[in-house]
Amino acid sequence: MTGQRAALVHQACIYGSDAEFLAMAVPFIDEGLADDVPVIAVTTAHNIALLRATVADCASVEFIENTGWYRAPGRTTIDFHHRIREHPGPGRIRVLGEVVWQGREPRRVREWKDYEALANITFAEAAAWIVCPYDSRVLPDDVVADARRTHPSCLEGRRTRASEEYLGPAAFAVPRPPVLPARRPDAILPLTRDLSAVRRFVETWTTARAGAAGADRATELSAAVSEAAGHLAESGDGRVRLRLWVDAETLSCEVRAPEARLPGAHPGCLPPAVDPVPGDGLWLARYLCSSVTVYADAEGSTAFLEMAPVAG
Amino acid sequence: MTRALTSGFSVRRGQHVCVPYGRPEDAVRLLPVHLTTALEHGEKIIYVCGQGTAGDGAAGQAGQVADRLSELLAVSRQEVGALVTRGQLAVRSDLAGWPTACGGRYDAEKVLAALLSECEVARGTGYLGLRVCVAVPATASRTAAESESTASTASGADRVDGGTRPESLTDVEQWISTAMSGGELAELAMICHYDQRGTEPERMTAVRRAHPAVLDARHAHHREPLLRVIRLADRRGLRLGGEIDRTNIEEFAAALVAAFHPGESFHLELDELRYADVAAVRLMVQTAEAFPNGHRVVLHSPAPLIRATLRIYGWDRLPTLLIEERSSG
Repeated sequence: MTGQRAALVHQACIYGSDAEFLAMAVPFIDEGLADDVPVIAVTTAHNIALLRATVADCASVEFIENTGWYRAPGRTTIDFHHRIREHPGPGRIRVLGEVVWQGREPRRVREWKDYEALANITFAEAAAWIVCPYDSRVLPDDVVADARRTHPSCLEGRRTRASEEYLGPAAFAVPRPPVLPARRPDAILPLTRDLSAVRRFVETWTTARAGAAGADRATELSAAVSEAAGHLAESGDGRVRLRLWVDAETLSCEVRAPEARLPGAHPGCLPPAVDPVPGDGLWLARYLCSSVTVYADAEGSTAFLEMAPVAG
Repeated sequence: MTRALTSGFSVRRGQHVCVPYGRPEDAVRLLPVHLTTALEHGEKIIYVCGQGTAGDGAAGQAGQVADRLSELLAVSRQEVGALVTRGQLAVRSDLAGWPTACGGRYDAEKVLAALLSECEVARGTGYLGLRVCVAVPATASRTAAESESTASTASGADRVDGGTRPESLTDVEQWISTAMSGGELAELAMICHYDQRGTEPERMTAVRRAHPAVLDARHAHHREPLLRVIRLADRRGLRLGGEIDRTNIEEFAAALVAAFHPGESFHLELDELRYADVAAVRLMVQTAEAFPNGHRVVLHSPAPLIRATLRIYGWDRLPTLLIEERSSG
């Protein structure tokens, strides 16, 4: 925290009352404004109302309701990345980021927990101070407990306390096999090296089955699948096989590359540069899809991409 | 007029294509091309292997075709078997006796009815269309050609009223062409492989004429080039069309290097570039980065996805990269 370059501070704030929330958030915001750094507060409508009533200079704070912001982990990560990058320094941009947990399926909850863990990787170089509020009054115990595992420290009022339970992203966000739809795939594509066939296959089926809104999503899913397939192919013998599930709501595609050995566990999680890094095409896939799972086992590697309607 | 096609990958539904071949390996090499094309376009594919004799079990023929396909595609037998199990890949010895009926006489109406019924089955099982690949053996064309000479002497008079009259091989092809051009069988892509060895040229000509399109078997296993690159005449730069991915990015990189000059702004006309992967967009950006201020890389009419890639990767903020809505060239 000294020297020219500020690095990430990523903290959880577990609060059990409005007063505890304000005891953390108000000084966090006020000090940020006093330091003349941008302050963004992404939180619940209730907390935004509390802050507007309490923070003196609330016009200088950018308030964003969390239900519209935390739609899909990849998209949210990249949106945050763009916001943070806009701040040239000096000092750290301050972000309150309260993830939406309620009303989500267990597997989506797990993805958001991984999102919290991987933020330590994605934003490691960012000049940002991110505090993630967790409302212990309403959140399940496992969500609160994992907040301590995914954030290096906790903020209580103005006091920072290192989290003894912190695991680090590699230990917490262990890649897991994707949960595939139970039903038979709508279409399969046998092993191929031909990425243009891969794209056309995905685009044809999604355009045909995904209804009127399908055309844009078809182009996006085929591009996302093509990047995933290209990365897996590069790490294996050049061939991939596809399985596709398409209905009016959800598009999902499994890309399987036998014998592919991936160079990293979370490709596409680091902010891309102009110089290439293996797997950085998945940054695009993570932005375009609601979920991207990459998993390697003894026989090869799999990417599973989903475009689901996102919880609002 | 017969249309000449160059690639098996470009045969679309609504087309009825003749593929005359002189070397069996040219026809064999096309089998996986038709399969890949069907899979890309969400179609069911039926191989009509044209070797129907009473001794061959249909299952045995299906097995042979599946073995051949798995060998040609370099995939396991199970992989092809999965397509058979799903009902997406099927093998038949003939369609209502065509093109292997004894004596080379066929009932065109029954053949058409069989095709219509196969189209309905394909659609009913969720496929977006049907691709039928027929192998017409040399013996069938010869028999057909012989019977054709008798058919032509009988003249067209009784063809008008004689709906159930046996037809020659090319008559059946003509019926199919007529039905397809009339909008029937719109979901069908029909590809007929003809072994022209031993068939007289004029007879082969009649077969070709019965099809609206002809594919040159010798080169049809190649895709049409994925990427088209043309140097701009009026300013420094390239017009790109098609798609760029890891399989052809070297070609794009070489074209960029050959056309680039640090002393002039560089224009890329992209309105016909359907797809560029992240690596290809990155190459455009790296080209822009190579410029000192003053000159730029100008991207004209990039597709929405290319524009999105630039934004998502933060490359749209580069001062030496300019995005123009419309090509002014």
